[in-house]
Amino acid sequence: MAEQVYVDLSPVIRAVENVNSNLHVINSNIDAVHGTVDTVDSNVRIVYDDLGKLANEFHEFVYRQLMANRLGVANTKIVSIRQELDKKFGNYDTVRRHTTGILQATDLEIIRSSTITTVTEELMLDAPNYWLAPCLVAIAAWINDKREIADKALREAIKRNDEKTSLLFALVCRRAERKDACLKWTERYLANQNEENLDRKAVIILDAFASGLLGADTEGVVARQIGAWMDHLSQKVGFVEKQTEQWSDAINLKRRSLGETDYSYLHKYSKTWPLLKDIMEGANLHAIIFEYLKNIFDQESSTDSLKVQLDQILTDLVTDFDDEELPLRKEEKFESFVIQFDGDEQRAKQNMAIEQTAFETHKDFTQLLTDAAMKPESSHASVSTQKFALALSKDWVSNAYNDVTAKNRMKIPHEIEINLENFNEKTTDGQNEKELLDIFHKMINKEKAHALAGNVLSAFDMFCLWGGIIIGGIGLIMLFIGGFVSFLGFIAVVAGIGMVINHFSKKKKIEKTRVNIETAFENKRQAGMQIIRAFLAEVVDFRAEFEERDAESKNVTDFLDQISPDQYVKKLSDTTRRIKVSE
Amino acid sequence: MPRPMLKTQQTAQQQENILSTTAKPQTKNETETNEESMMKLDRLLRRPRSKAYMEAMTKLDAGGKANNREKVQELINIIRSEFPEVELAGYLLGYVSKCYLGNPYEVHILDANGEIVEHYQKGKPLPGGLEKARSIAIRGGYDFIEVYSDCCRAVSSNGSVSVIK
Repeated sequence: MAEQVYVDLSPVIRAVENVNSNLHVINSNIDAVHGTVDTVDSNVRIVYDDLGKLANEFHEFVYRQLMANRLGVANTKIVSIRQELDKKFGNYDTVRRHTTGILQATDLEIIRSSTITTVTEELMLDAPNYWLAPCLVAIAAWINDKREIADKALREAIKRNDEKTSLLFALVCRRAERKDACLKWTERYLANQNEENLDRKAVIILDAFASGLLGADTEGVVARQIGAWMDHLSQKVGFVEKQTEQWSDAINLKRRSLGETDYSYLHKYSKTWPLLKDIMEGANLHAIIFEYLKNIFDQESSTDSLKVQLDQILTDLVTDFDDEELPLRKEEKFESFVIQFDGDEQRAKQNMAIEQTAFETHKDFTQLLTDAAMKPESSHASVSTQKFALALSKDWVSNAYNDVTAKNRMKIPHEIEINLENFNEKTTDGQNEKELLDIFHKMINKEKAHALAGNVLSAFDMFCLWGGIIIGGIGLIMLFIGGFVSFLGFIAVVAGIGMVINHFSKKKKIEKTRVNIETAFENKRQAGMQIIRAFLAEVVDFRAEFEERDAESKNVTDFLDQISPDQYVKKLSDTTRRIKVSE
Repeated sequence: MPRPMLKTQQTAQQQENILSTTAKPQTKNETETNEESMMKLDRLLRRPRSKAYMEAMTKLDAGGKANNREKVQELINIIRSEFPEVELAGYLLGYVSKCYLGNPYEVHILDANGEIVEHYQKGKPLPGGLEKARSIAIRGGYDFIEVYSDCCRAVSSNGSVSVIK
């Protein structure tokens, strides 16, 4: 009989238990480290956020500081610019004031001619380079009937600035009703002009001509001169294209942003909306331009206002800044913009760029026409000049306007997108409601089916019903056997009942969830249908409104068509003749 | 992009394109730059279209695919005579206009190379670079759109031309 061997494994078991216990300790230590790392991580995140905020605040501070510094510089600079203007051109202001005063005093005949002579001679000495000073001496000599001095002074004035002197005397002679002299001076002024590089003052002669203030003979001269300019410019390569471009830009400047609209569904549910908004703004431009043109041509100039304009033209000539002053005047304007925008140089530059055209010392004749017609505020053009400029530029305006309109129409989207969560479809005119709703229903049904598919009883929960009944049944039988088996039977019965209860509980929960899903999707369906219908209604309205607004372009083209430059000039001549009779 | 030429009195090769005249020359003034040539061409093509040209274009919508070779040729001759002084081969891609045959047709085209008048249904893309003019042809309110390689020229019923670059 084999001898039995007993091995005492208890030390091994204890050692294993020890290892196990140590592992638990290590595990709990690792958990603690994990927790600490999480805390550190969250702290680092907070620090990062704070740092980001701090960086933003710092950048903001630097920006504000730079603006404040620039504002300070602008305030100092503008004072020094003004001082320099005063130092260099202060005398010019005096000459300008005296010229105005002498012209008025001469009208009223209340100042002795000797006084005028003394004052003008002194001014001549004070402003050695200014063209207006010898003009003033010439006027004084003219008043005193001293032809020799007048001639000498005129020669000096012409030497200093032939163009302005000619214009000044043309206007002074016109005021004194010296028509022949006026004509000669006007001819001289025009002969001084280069149509590709016109002086700012050219707008004045245009104003006077367009307002019918230069006399009938003068108009003939001006009209011929303008005709020659236009012919010459038109023959230049790229001229017509540049004109069209200039007018297109000027027309587009009248565009207004759409702002709040009635198309809330298109705005909210269509990726095409930015384009739709853009073309609607383009279509709205027709009414704006039509009103703008109509307003210009509806305004009548009375004889009185013509006379006032003449005085204003003369006043402008003797009061506006001289060319020499312009660079400093530009600097002064720029610094004043910087101050206006609290040191924001960028905005000041943008505003200067907009004002630049008005500040341009020289420009070509057609740019002058564009500015007069479309930017009367900055070009200081009168209504008469606007009419005349538009009449002369009629063909270019029409071309540019047609191009602007066509470019806008080219952008009209044939199809408009509807983007409602996962529903991304298209409509052309909003007429495909049934088709879109069908697609939408299918999409909702699919989404719903997918959602419901994820909410069914699991295999175990399904098994719980019959499995529980069987286990419970077996347990029930075992209960009657007695002893330990009865105990096991009891457990089986409890487990069986538990399984059945679990099955019905899960089933009830699932059914409730499924009902909720059904309700949610039905709500989504109803809301979606309402949105689609409202969206399509807006598409119909939008297309109709766009068509209506776009059709208003015909008003503009018809209006431009009926402007005839020849008839307009003739009308001006007639008006002038009537003015002369009334004078 | 092929450069269109303004025609001079010199002899040059004959073109097969619908807008090339039968024996017209295709040379370029040596002193004239391409830019000047293009600008002159732009001015020429800005000119309002003649009544005969407009009428010829409205015949495009005669119905169905134009199989009558003689009619198409007659149409092409009228179109060609609109710009006798210019060679547009390769520059003018074709014409697109709204189709009034009714649903499902949307537009019809006159293909400058293939001399084909064809009507296109909704969803069927236009060939040869003409697709860009589809939307404006349908919705722009113009009689037809001339499609060039670098721009479109939309022609209104009164013959006036708008340029879209």
